[in-house]
Amino acid sequence: MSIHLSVVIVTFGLLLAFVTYTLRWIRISLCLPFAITVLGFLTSCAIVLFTQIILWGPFEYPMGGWAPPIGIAYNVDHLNSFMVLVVTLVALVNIIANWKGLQNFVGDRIGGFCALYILYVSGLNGILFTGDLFNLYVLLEIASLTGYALLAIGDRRLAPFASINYVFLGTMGACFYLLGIGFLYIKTGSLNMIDVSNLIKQLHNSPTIITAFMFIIVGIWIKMGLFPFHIWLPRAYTHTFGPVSSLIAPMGTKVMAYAMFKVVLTVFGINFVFRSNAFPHIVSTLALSAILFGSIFALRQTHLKRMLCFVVITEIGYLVSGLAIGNSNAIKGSILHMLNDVFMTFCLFLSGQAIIERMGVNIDGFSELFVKTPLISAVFITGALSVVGIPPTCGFFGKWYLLLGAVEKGNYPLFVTIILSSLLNLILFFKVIEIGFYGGKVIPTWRLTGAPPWSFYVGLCFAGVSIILMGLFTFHLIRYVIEPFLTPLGL
Amino acid sequence: MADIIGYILGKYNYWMAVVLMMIGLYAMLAKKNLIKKIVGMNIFQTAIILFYISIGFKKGATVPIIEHNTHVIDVAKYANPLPHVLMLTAIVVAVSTFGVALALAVRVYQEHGTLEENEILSELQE
Repeated sequence: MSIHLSVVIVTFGLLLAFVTYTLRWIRISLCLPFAITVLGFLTSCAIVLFTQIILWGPFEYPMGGWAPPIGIAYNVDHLNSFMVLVVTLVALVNIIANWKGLQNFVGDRIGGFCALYILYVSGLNGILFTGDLFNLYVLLEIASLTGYALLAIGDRRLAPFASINYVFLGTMGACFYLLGIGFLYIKTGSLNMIDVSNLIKQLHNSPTIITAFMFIIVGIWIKMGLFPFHIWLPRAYTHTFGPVSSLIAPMGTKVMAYAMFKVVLTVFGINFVFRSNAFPHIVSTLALSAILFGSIFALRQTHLKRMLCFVVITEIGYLVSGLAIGNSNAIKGSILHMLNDVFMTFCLFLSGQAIIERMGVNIDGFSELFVKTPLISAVFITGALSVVGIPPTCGFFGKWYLLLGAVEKGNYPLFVTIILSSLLNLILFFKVIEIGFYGGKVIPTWRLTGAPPWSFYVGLCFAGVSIILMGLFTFHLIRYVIEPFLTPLGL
Repeated sequence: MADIIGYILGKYNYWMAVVLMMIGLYAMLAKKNLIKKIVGMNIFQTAIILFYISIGFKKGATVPIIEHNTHVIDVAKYANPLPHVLMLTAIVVAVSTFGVALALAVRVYQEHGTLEENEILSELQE
């Protein structure tokens, strides 16, 4: 068993990103194939690492040989090695699927684009692996800064302006997180997550620790785009270039959700967070309003991508609602939903982008959608059904566990909200299906873009099939990925 | 009264950090000009850097360089170097954020011909 793979995934990603950029001085056409090779390498490392974790259990990697409370540690367990696998795999499939589109749209700047793309993925991998609070901040900023640059690609008038607004809010979130760590450091003198969680067991009533918790959690929520901190999200994701939105929309918010679970469950611990009703009440209110607000605002949109952004906001509400309920089933549901949501959002944004390229952004102009693009719309509908929560798809199971948890705890407002928002999502996607089959008010403006290249179909099939597979293997996921993460935490 | 003054003066480093942070936050939220907002963001980050630097300070302590052949180390004699080291990284992050934000502002200016947020928004609504 090689524990070094965990650090190879992050550092090689960061290093090879720059190699990808320098290749443009030799031949520009080398950049994209090399980037795909790098992502393929990272994915295979992630697969091997995940297999090792399943076989031999989690481990701690001491960076540079320094033992953890002093040195930086990478804590690799079942959940985060699986998340890394998901992130690298989806990033790989996304760049393969959009191969032609990237070459046409980005052109000569492909070297820079590929470097940013790999840096972003490596930043996310680092966030997932790291066991050090300050290290998490640095990797968070690596992922965010490359994310700002990537999101500024696209609509020349709107994308840079949306991105700069995201810079302001994102930096504020990261600064709040950093400030919270400062408070924790003053009180405990440590930055290692496990060390801190042991040290604050005696300090549960310290106002400094409570303030630190508030700063950290609000910082992470801003980065996640939880209602009411979501303002940057629809604008930034709507106007950006298609392959960027199908990279960042599935991953950015979900990896931050993982960071939230890690901070709340591992660092502060359930005894601290759930000892009074204050935290569950606040989270419950926020989750409830995020779910309702997201579903209702999604109904109002006529711009397909903007509508999908509000669907993402709804999903973030689900991810947080596990903490609002706070029992084993609900947190299981939230974490399961976090894993599933990567595939669901990827599927919707990938197929949605292809639909937009052919039929324009307006939903009312989607007449004859199913006749003209049968496969793309079939995959889009699969993703839509998963968001609504129809059983064979994966979206159902996360919601099922959440509902179970809500009933056990007696949190009926959240129970009703989850069901209501599923119905609202059904109406939302039924609108698209109806127009696709029976025609809408606006005369369709069919753009002849030609058939998509074969590589796009690979990505599309992956997106559709993965949703079904994640649904079918739910119980394996719970047993081998989520329960090993939750059991040591007392859930 | 003396208590309050003592309280404020005794922890003046935190108060300064809070004041700077609020200046930065005000500039980020209330100013309409994008460059002013970016500068506000930088002030906000600098406030946090100063906050960290100040927590590594100890009264009467010196630079954390340990003499050769010292076996027993008196911790109180040396300033805590860790927050300073952390802030080296945070300064790098702040500089790169500043750079990315300025680059984006250049793009916005090229497209819209202005950096005033309300003018850009009204132009976008047309």
